[in-house]
Amino acid sequence: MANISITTKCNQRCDYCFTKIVSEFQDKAVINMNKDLFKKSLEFLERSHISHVRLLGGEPTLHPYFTSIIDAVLCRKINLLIFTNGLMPKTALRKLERIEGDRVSVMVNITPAFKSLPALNKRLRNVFLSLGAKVTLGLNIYSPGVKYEHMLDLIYNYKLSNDIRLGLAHPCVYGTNDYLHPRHYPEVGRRLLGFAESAKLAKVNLKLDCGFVPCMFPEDNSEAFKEVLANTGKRCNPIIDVLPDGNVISCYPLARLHMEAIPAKEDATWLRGKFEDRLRFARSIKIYKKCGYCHWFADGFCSGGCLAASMMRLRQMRNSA
Amino acid sequence: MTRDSEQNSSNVSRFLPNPHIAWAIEIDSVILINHENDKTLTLKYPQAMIWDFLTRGYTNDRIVPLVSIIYSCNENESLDILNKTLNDWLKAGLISVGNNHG
Repeated sequence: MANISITTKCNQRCDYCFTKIVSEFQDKAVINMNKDLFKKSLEFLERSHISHVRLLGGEPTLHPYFTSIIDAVLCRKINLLIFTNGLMPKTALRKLERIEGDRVSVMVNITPAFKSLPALNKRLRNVFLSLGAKVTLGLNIYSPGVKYEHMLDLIYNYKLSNDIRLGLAHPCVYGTNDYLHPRHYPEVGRRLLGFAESAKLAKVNLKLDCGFVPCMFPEDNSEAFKEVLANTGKRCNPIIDVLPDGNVISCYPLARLHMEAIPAKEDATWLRGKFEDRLRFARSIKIYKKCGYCHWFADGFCSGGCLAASMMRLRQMRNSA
Repeated sequence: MTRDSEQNSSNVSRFLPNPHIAWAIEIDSVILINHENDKTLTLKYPQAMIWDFLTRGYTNDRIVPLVSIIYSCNENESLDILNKTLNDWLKAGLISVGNNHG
């Protein structure tokens, strides 16, 4: 799996958004990936034997050539998952409606503005009605107070996919986005475990993104806990994010630490190796002081959490003086 | 450092981490990261404790008695520990002399 971000343009301003780090250090308002670069990105992924690609932004459906981009992917043996806030132009929605089969699916990230704006809800409802089971719901957990239960209602009412993707809002090193501080992880874990039990009853599967750690969940013997545990602890490794300008990063939270150009001949394995080498120095830091004494870490079940969140613990004299 | 300069520097000098050095405090150690060469160094005690005092801006005359208490040694022994540590860190480029405020 790899990500291609095709535009920095977005019609929402989520405080926790980590993709805005790209606009911040590019010092440009909007960058749209051109067709040649997109073709080069696809060739790189094919060379790397990557057959699943996620399309990101900003809001990717706002790219001026969005429909051509979809066509370019469908010409190749690549499956596509589009990350969207759901507020897509009608042309984009019609394009997605007409695609048959399951090669293209849509992840609608429920943003904080949802529910509070009736007009926004209406647009999202249209997307859900039009795309149905092609839609997977996603949620970025940016505060301990985030609510989950309404997603089960949406899945039931609109017959959406039975999966929910959950991600933690991670900090961007040298960035300014809001993020979920690890001190809040136990509260998030407690509430999430309760939701996991409700989801299980509703036959909905929770898919956890990187950065969740076992110690954030209250230990018990429930099936929900065991399933959640299977999804946590080990995942902090280079994802490979291709940016709209053709540069490649390990992941957005670590974007400012290292960047490479799309290689002319090498593949993603080679590139991941370069990122691992560059970031190895920071692997000795974990998200908590106590990680060194944690049995999950000692048993090799947990690698110590998100590297970007870990690096936020670092102090330097110019900041601490 | 000569014994005389040690005596003088230990009374009034303050050493501070260099700007390219980042650190994270763990339960039983301090991890240093040198951003100039991406090398890491783990400090165990007593060096971890001395580093912590430096970052708080403590002068040597404040650190010496603290090390002495914690390690149940006399102040001369404590001064030797401190001077050796500071020398090593100066040579490694981890610290430099700060303002001479008491």
